[in-house]
Amino acid sequence: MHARFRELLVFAVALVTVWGLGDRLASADSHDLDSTFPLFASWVRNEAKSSFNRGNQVRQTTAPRGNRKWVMQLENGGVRQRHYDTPESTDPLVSIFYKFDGNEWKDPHGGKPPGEVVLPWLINPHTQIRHCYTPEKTTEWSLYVVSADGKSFTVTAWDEARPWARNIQVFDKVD
Amino acid sequence: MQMNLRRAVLLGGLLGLALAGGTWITTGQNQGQRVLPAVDAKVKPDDPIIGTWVFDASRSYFNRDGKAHGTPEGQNEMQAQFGGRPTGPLGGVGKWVIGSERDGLSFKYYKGTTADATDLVRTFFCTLDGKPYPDPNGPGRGEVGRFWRLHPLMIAREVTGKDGQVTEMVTLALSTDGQVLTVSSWLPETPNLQNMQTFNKAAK
Repeated sequence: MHARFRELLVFAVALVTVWGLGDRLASADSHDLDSTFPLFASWVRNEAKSSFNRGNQVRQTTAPRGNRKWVMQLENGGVRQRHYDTPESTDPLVSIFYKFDGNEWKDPHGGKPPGEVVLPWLINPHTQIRHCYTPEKTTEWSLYVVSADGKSFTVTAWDEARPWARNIQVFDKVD
Repeated sequence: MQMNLRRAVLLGGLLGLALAGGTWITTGQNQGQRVLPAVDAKVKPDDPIIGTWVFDASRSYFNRDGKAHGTPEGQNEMQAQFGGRPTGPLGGVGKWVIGSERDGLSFKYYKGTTADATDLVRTFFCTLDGKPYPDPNGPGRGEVGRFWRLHPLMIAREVTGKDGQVTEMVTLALSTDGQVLTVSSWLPETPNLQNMQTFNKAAK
């Protein structure tokens, strides 16, 4: 009886240990995205739906604005985000990479300001909240939200000092 | 000998099952997995969101349903883009009193737009660690709300309906000086349309 109990105990300990090991092994990559992530697409800004009030400076204008095409692609389990001046442009103005793994990622605005990092949090597959900062201060808060039907992508950004005054850029999916 | 072989087979099977099980449980959630900060979600007495907050019509607009809920009279340029200057707070509730309670927050909503308003219309409690709480928008809707603390100046709220689908997203963003609270909300179908409720701190 005693031997039988010991045998069961060994099995139970082994089971728990290896289950935990499997979980640990898997979690090393558990934050990796795959191609079904709703953000992965090419997006072109819809000027009629976008507004630029960040910093309490109303800058609504009919003049063409740059950074109109954003392309989000799967790369190494994370996001490769490229900004292009126009929908026809082929050379990116900005190219950044990040993962949702709880780490900071460098240069979310291409190195301006120097030392800036971004900490992106994934609330659900359609919603990320991004905190950009330098060692001195917060440089930006932003929301990246893909609509439930996956066809629209909204970027809302503001200065921490004035959270009510925001840029709201609306993008349409083009592929 | 036969007993040892049976034991080895049994142990091997169990180990294989366990390894596969542990792996499946995590990788099966990749696209829906939340990634949230490991910050202390417990609310402390000096939390900047604690205080009495009063609605500021000059910095707010209500455009979540794509319709105008304000007036052109007195509107600023920003409000002109989003349905005008609000004639009052949402549902007449223009005073929020947020306090610390049991490691979380208590919310008290009052009708009126002054710090001395006394017409309490609703109260609820939540923690900031993602634990579900019922009826975030009032009883009878079958909704569940979850709050997360992302940063001392940022809280996110997700509301899900009876079917578990997200029905509303909300962020509560505090200004650097802790004197302004902007509550933005949108529907999952139309994140480009938002309600922007701004409150000024009237008292700690």
